[in-house]
Amino acid sequence: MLALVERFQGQVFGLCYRMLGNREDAEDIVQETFVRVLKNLAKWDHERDFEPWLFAIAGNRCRTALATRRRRPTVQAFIEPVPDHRPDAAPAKHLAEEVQLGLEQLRSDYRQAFVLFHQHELSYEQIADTMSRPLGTVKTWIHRARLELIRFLQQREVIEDASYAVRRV
Amino acid sequence: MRVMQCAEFEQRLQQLLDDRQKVEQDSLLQEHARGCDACGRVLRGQAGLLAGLRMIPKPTFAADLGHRVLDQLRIDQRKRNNRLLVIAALAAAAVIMVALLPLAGDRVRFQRDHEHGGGIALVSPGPQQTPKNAFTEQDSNDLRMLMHSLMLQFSEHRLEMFEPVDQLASGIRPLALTFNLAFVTLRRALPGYSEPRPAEPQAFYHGLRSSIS
Repeated sequence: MLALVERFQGQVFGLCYRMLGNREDAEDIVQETFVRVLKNLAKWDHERDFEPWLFAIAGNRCRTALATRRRRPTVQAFIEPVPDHRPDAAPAKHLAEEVQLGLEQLRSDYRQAFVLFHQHELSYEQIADTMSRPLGTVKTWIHRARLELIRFLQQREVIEDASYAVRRV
Repeated sequence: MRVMQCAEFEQRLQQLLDDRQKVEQDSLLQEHARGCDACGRVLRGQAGLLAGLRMIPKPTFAADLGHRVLDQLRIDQRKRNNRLLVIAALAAAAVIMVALLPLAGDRVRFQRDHEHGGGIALVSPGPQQTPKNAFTEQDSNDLRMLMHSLMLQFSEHRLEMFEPVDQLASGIRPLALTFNLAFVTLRRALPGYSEPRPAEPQAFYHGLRSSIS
């Protein structure tokens, strides 16, 4: 069991962190996800890929957590800075933080689809399977997520409107 | 070289995005973008976003996350076992209660018959007869022992077992207290058993006080 958790915990944590924007919340959801997965392992259809099933449970837990957070407006979601030790990291860090902030503004289903596609490199079919949505819907969500993120970065002047080049800060 | 149309540009851009290719390095798109301001903006926007995504550092998580998951699983398993134990105890108590009720009824009838002498007697009733199915002293002792052991099994300090179940069904604890009280009542109904009644009202007897307060 520990081997299974250790094999997938990074991926699940990555998704939860991008969905929730907070390390503690993400760790709690990862824990909940694996407890649920291990208890229901017998229900997993062996003919389906494991990862979409795992991400589906993690995504559902994240959306529930987000809904709970919305019902309690006093608890503010915030973007937790992630230390970046690369040389000349300041502009990259700024752009990365802005993208993460932009992700927070997206609808949760757009965000989940976008993160699964661009950061977890799942195929459209796997994402459709994970989210139990038609393939066309998933493609549309990811496309709209991209456009909304670009618009957000333009408004924040991270991508310059005149040239659309990545602005160096 | 044929100049790419805007529709073709969009199609190719989408294809590259679907394939997770670097759109800013595609020469055909670059060529078209140089001559088309609108498509150029689209291309630079997408390229900027993808660059930003690549720059997001990978978040790190607690090293003991896997062990925390396993600890949580163990706690859940223990709770589940406790819940099963409580349900089994309740079911056993219910079965015993149902089995004992007719015996208690017999005793009540036995007492009533003796108090009233079996109706109006104009002549001496003669030697007293033992009614059919009445308790013998041995039965009474056996039953008393059984009730005593059940009381021990089901006594008040064991009610802490109900805590996990309380979280799921708040009615379980009062139910357990009711069973507890029923045992005490039944035990008092046994022939030859005498137990001084508590000075306090029955409503405050055997744990009800704590649950009420």
